[in-house]
Amino acid sequence: MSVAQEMILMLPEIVLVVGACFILLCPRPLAWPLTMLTLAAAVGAMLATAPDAPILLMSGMFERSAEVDVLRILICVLTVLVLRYARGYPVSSDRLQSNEFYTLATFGCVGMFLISGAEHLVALYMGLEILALSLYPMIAMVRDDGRAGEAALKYFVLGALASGFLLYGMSLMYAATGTLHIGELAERLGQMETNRILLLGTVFMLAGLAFKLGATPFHMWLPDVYDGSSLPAATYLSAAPKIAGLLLLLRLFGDGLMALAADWTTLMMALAVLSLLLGNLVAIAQTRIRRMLAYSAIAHTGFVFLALCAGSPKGMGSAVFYTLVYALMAAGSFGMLLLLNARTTAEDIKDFKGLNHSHPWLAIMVLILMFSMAGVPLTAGFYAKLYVLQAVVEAGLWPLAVAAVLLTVVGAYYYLRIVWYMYFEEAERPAEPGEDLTHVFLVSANALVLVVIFAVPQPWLEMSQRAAGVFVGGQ
Amino acid sequence: MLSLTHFMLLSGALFAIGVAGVFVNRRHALVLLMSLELILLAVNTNFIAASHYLQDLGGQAFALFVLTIAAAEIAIGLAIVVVVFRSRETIDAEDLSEVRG
Repeated sequence: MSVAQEMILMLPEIVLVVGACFILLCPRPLAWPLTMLTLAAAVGAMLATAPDAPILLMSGMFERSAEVDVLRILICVLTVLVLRYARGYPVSSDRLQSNEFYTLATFGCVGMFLISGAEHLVALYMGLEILALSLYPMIAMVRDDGRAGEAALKYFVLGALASGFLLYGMSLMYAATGTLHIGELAERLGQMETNRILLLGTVFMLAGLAFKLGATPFHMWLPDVYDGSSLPAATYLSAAPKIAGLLLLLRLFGDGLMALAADWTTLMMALAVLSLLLGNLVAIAQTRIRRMLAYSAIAHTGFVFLALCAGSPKGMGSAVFYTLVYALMAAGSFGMLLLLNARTTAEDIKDFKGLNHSHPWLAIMVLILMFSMAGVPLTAGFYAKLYVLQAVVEAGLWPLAVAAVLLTVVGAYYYLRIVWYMYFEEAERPAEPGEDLTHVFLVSANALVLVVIFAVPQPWLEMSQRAAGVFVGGQ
Repeated sequence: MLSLTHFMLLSGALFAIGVAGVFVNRRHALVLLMSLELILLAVNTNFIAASHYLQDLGGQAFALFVLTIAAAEIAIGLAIVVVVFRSRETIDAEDLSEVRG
């Protein structure tokens, strides 16, 4: 293939990079419209250049496929949503609406795009670091807030450590197999005897990814980062990067290391069960919403790991579907939190008390979001959990499925507590949500999509299966 | 004659020192950054040694990428340390306990 053709297929990334540079340099009032324009142009470029079949570019370093493009469009949509939510935040009037913030958000998307298509360990690592190096400054950006600085430092140290683990694992894999190409890696691993270096490499890579995704016992940074960073940065962190994290996991473990599945499945099961256990139990004790959402994120990560333990194409598909739904729920919850914090601080769970009396519509939206997080029927969260459990049971791992169901029931308590507070308790002080109608509309749409997914889950599920198929089919 | 095993032992030792530095050192944020750098150097040692023994240039190219990113990472790390120092006049890692649940 000629260079020109390759460049056309890489157009979405090129558009994002060029756009991000212009966002940094343009006059401040233009930064926001330019960001929206860049993300829209990237989606447009993706739709215009979608290939018919998965295709390898850049000497096999990068893979472009229409199936994964759908997830990348979702990443762009979530980023737009999250940035729009963040505009209502009062402190954001200066730093968090500056050109730098939008540039970093756009570069974060570049990282996520690279991760989604990387077929080579170098490309994968570059994508991961571009994303991570955009997230650290986004958190540290509120310079006069000591909590944000502390959160950024914790995230930075543990994030860099996680990259170190992942890289060390990669280097051991390279020494053992002699290739950095993920497809070739899968092929060579299939023909090799398992040896200690391979096992060590697998363990390090899994530990690095567990760190990045915040699975127990590598979760300790996550609650502090969610709680300490500014609300807009935490919102960005909680939504789209989760999809990128899953794609990373699928690429490395669903494709590259699939031949060693017998060895890593046990470890992944342990991570899944520990995350479900710790996430759900500790979340009950939280009084601040963001810490609760952080522990709930850990529990949800546990569910995704559980789906991957099944090791079947169906398991991979259900993992994609679960992450997709989770990213929407997280964006919606944080969007709602930003709305409630637009004028006063309302960061405690108690601040939800009596919301139904003052703002019944918002209360219904919170209800949908919380039901979906808990996995109650009539919301997408129910199907997401159901499909994962189906895949796990089909793989013969029913004790895991039983444990997951039990822990989910325990977890439902802290989501439903918020609903209880909203409907059946008196407000301690009046809620003062923002009055930005666009924000209210977007949060409502975000929550209602979850009901729509429940009503017609089939297209979403098929889309997830097809996207997962690109990774599994790669070997 | 040095074999690949020797280099991997060396890099293993470097890696272990780095990780221990992150977990054991609770005093100074700059020492944390040095430990992180040591981990990346261990990775580079591994890549370059493996690349030489396999007669494949991919590993050395990867090491160059790791070096570049390590530089960017440390720049951001130092910037964050400066932010933390400005707001609380200390970079003692033990004092970082304002965000707790």
